Amino acid sequence: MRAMEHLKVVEASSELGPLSRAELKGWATVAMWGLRIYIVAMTALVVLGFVRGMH
Amino acid sequence: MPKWAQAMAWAEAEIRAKDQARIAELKADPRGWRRWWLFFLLVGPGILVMIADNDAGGVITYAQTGAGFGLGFYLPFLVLLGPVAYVVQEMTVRLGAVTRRGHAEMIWGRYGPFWGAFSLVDLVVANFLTLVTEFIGITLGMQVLGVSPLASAVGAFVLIAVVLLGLRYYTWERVSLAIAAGNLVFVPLALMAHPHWDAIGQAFLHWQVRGGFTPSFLYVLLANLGTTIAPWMLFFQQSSVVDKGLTERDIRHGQADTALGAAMMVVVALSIVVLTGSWLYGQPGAGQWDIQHILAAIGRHLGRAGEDLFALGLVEAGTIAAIAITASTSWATGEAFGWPKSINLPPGLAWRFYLPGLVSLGLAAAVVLIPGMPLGYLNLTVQVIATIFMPAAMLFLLLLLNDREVMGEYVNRPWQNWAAGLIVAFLVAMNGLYGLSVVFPHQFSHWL
Repeated sequence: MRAMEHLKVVEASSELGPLSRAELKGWATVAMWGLRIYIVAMTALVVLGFVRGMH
Repeated sequence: MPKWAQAMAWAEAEIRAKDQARIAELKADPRGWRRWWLFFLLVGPGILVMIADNDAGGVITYAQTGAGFGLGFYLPFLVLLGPVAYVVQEMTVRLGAVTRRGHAEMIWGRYGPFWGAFSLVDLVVANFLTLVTEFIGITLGMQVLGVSPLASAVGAFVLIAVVLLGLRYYTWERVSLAIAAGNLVFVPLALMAHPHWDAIGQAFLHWQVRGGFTPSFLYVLLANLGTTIAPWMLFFQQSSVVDKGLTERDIRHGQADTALGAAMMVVVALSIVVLTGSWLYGQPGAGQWDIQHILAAIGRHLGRAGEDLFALGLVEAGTIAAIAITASTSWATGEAFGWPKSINLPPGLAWRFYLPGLVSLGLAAAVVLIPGMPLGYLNLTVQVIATIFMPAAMLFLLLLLNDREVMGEYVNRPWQNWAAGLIVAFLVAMNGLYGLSVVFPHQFSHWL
């Protein structure tokens, strides 16, 4: 019973602190720019595809 | 902390403490049957996510793949997709167990509100549209069994809502696993069709593309890839690991759970392709058949029982996926906005957590019942959004798994980065090729 109470207290008090922003360096910066370019290119393709599909 | 939040934290802590005590007791002396019982208690998220991934859209995709392309290329390809799904989903187990936070919360917290909102909006929209396709599968399957679309859509909504609202996490997971077991119905169904084992063996020995790399081949390839790894799966499994209360000590069990789930997913996918690839492939027009045609053809070959079993499998696939996707929407929204987010919480206290999932579930059920709704167009939109979103979701997963500040000693090993990097590169290349084939179809067939 005491062990259960202990676990309960541990669980209740295990609130996580706030997350700090990640600092992007090296390949991560390149990958993020790649992602932006990919999203723009795919969105353009989708728009083109739908516009052509309507004709 | 306000009183209501404190009450919720204590309610959740009490339930989780009971679960932790049960696990700790078994871990203290894990011998004989206790070892298996411990494994049984710890598995869940991995099997659930992989089986839910064989959703109604997945079942339809596999059935059409077999009917249109036979056994040749896709049987070995689907076997390869098992390790692909494992590599991707295993990362969510480690991330969830180490950080004790869901994927949406991690993206929002580490990469800021823009990418957080981008991921959340994409996920919620894609989840809603995927739920529509699950209801299409449920109503279609139930129609074969003689139940009207209205009754089946309302019935499915009520069942999923009751399971989500009425049960705490552990029971919700066990009930979901019991429903997921129904996915295995496709295995005896494939055996009932007396598959040509020679042809199956030949497919693995001579892996080849019949008809070449046409746009329709690429489309089916992407559809199979899209049905094996989807954005909601990353969010779902990580949140599920967190809600189950798994920690670093449970990672090994989480990995076994994921591997078992991936194996089950592949077996079911192979069964469906074997079923339709053995009997329907080569029939005039089979490559363009929709699921109603396929159901009717299965009925002609296997009789009424075969058709009913396939329909039942379709209903089960839609139901288990809808259960998982509804939870995924609720978890991700709760994580993004910092609301209490656990299936352990009573609905009266945590109504904000349950609301987004249930609203999208209700809307999806309603959309399917609207006469003349362009369901094919909706299905295409699901694929487009998931296609664009998947590499983004994968990139954030990779960034987080290489973040030593967050993961400590549990960061990715080099082979895991190589494997995940190759998957992302393959996804981007295939998506790009498919996009080009849709926009420039004539030039594309000329290049090939």
